[in-house]
Amino acid sequence: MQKILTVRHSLALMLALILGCLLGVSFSSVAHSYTFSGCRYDQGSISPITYRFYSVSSASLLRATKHGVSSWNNTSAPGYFSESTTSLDPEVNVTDDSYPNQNAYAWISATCDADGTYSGNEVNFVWNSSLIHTRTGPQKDRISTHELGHAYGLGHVTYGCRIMRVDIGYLTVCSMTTPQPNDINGVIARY
Amino acid sequence: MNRKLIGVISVFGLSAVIAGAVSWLGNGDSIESHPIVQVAPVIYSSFEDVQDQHDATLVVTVVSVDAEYVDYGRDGKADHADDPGLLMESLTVKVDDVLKGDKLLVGTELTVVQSQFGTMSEASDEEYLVPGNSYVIVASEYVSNPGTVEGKVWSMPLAGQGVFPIVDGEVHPTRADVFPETFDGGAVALDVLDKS
Repeated sequence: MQKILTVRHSLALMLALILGCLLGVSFSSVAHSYTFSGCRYDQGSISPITYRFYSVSSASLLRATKHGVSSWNNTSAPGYFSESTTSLDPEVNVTDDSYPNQNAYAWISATCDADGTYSGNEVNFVWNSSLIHTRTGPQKDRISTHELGHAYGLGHVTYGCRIMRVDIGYLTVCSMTTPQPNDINGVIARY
Repeated sequence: MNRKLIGVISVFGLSAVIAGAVSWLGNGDSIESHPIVQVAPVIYSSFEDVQDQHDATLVVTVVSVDAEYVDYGRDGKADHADDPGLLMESLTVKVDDVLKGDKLLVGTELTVVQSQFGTMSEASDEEYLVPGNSYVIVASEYVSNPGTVEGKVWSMPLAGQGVFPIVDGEVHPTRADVFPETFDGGAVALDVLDKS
């Protein structure tokens, strides 16, 4: 009789263990409906995140960049972006140049230090003028918001109507040009 | 009985916390110090689409990595003091076959450029051209930017859409979700892609 009870105890414990693991992984997956890129700003340096235009001559790119800025600033994401025209060392250097052999509309580049923060606490936001002219105004807006999401430290997602969709440049099934709840939650979790 | 119940609940809760923590930590940042690039890549609707919008689909073997350089764009200049440009490398590849495009390219050697980090952050390791290995590449020819590589270079689209490693005679996508109507997440025979 005692042996049967022991077997029952063992089975109950194993069942609890398995269910517990499933529950834990499941909660963890829900929490990662956004992804992180390899790096982020130092937590004390996002209020504000200064940005400055270098060599950006296109009015549509200036406007789209500012759209991205205001769309993040209008959310509950921590920190905010603020334009600087005089700062010698802004946290986002915005440029545009022609890279015909780079098959991307825009990108964020940076160096990531060993502690997981940007070296010099800055990133480069590059508009690829070879390709971006093929995009409409709203598409430029969403690409800008997307890149600033990368600056915050978000990575790509592959599904759902989220600004961090990897295919944001041509997406037709979603019309958003601003961060969506999952994007905002990602930034909140990042900082 | 209550003690047993408490025991089971405790194990349940503890294992949930541990599994969640392990899963969460598994998605954490790398501790390496390294350059990163995050892009908004051009995405094509199908393998036919990406081929139609590029100059050629080639079977190549990578001969060598020839140079590493910084691409500052069409003006060839840094835009600001901290501008890192794009860290690129040029490679020589030998064209073994042309699946689509100019057949005269067969047997020639071309200069191909790629980011030093593969096709940027979208890349898996397999997407990065490695000397000695063979690939199907979908690529276009461009005049290279000033201060980089002399003459014309070839480059491939990002996000797993232009580099397909050949292993044991089969062509593999570097991502399971790329062009599913062609690859269905797995390898295909080279003949399947040959539209020449």
